[in-house]
Amino acid sequence: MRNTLYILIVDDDQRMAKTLKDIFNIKGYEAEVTHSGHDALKMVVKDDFDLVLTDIKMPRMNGVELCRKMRESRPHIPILLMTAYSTDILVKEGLEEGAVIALHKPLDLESLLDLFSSLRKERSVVIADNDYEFCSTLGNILRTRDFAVTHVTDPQSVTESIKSDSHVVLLDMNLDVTSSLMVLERIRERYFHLPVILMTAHQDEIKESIDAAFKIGAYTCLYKPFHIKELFQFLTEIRHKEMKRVLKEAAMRR
Amino acid sequence: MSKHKSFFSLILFTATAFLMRITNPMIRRLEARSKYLEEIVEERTEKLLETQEQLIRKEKLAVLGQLAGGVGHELRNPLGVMSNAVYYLKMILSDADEKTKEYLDILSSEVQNANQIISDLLDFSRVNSLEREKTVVHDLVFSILSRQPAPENVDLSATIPPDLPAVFVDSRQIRQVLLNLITNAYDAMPEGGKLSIGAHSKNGQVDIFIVDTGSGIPKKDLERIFEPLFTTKARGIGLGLSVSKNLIEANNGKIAVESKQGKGSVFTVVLPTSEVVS
Repeated sequence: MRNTLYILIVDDDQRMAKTLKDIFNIKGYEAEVTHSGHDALKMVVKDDFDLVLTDIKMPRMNGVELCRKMRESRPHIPILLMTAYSTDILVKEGLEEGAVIALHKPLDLESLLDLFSSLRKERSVVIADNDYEFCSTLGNILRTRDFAVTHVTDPQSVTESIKSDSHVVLLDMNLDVTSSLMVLERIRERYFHLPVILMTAHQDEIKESIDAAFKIGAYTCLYKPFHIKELFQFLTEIRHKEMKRVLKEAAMRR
Repeated sequence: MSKHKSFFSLILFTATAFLMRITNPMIRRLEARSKYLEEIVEERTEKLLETQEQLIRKEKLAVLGQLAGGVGHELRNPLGVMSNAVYYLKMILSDADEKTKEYLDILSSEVQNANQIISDLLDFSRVNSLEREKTVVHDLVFSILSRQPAPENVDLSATIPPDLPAVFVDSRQIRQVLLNLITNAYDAMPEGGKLSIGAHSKNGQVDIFIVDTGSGIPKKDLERIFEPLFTTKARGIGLGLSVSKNLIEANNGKIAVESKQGKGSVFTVVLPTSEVVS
């Protein structure tokens, strides 16, 4: 996992794409360039881009169609539109198709770079599981992917271990379901937007409690032993959603 | 026989005199009426011709506007690349000598100027739908001033009562108009001066005044400043005030100007406070 933003620039104007890539590189971001929507679709499936910056008016596949197609293959990656046409009806359509913001050319690069810097790349995860071994191994794997990890083995101290910069809580649902549900409720009360991923080895025994947890607002549930790739997919999805939220808030303020 | 003849002549003469006495004023009145009607026809014909000319001019301008708008849009792509290129150079040449920095600044400011001309053209050539909402004049003016602060040599004072009734307008469009008037006022005072912005409400409307102590507008230009493509500036294409007038009128408002050469100008913008279309 990269420790900086990884941006895909899509513009049929090669010089526009090149100059943007060079600027982003100098500012410490990684960026790839493509000049067609079709290639962009292939690239977002192959690589873990954090966001896509695409022109709207392009031959064959325009930016709006790209948004539409990406909703099928990579629905959570934030898409930023660029346009030279201020009254373009495609801008409206693109935003309806899920793009988070439409930027006008010439781009206000100062504001765009400010926006990027507000998207934190570093991730912080709280693992709440009374199985110390499990906590430790999962924590080590996450650290290799540049996550900051906090272990909690005592369910009562989970909420105290959550910091303002925590991004995700991985909460174990063991047979003591009442206690787990109470922890989940306390997290929801104090940190409403903080995603909580449940983990359990007792899929069948506690089915009703898992349903109850979803009703309280659990993000998803992983059944042990789960594939680590599955966890990373959820973590990426959560990250993209959070980025979209930050970008949308920024767009509202503009 | 001759006695009878002279009698009839007398009657005829008297009758004719009588008739003439009656009909003469009528004829005079008819003549006057006819002259009046002729004048009206002439006046109306002139007005009709004038309206037709205006219509043709408007149509021509609309076609020109569309064309210019299309070209303007296309120009934004190369301008965008130029803007990126200058930004990149400024980043990597942050420790360059002053002359290089000055030239990079010139490039970016000219890109901005070119983009502004395109924006003016596009504003002129399109009719945007209105999104009217209750807008607080005090907040609108101060938000513009925070983004467009006065040059150092201009003394700015804005006294807008915060409790003025809200105006019912498309706030983006009115922001554009006020920004244009304020920028024009700054431009009119290159040697410095005073810009006063005030407002008051009366009869269901709010009057906003933008008063500068700049060069003023010559009397002969005063009637023409709202015409498209009329400008007294060395730079610019003369669409700012024309666009402003269109926007204000689309919002059921009015815009007026008073000016004295060498003393300064007063622009007054009148905006409605209610949703009732005037």
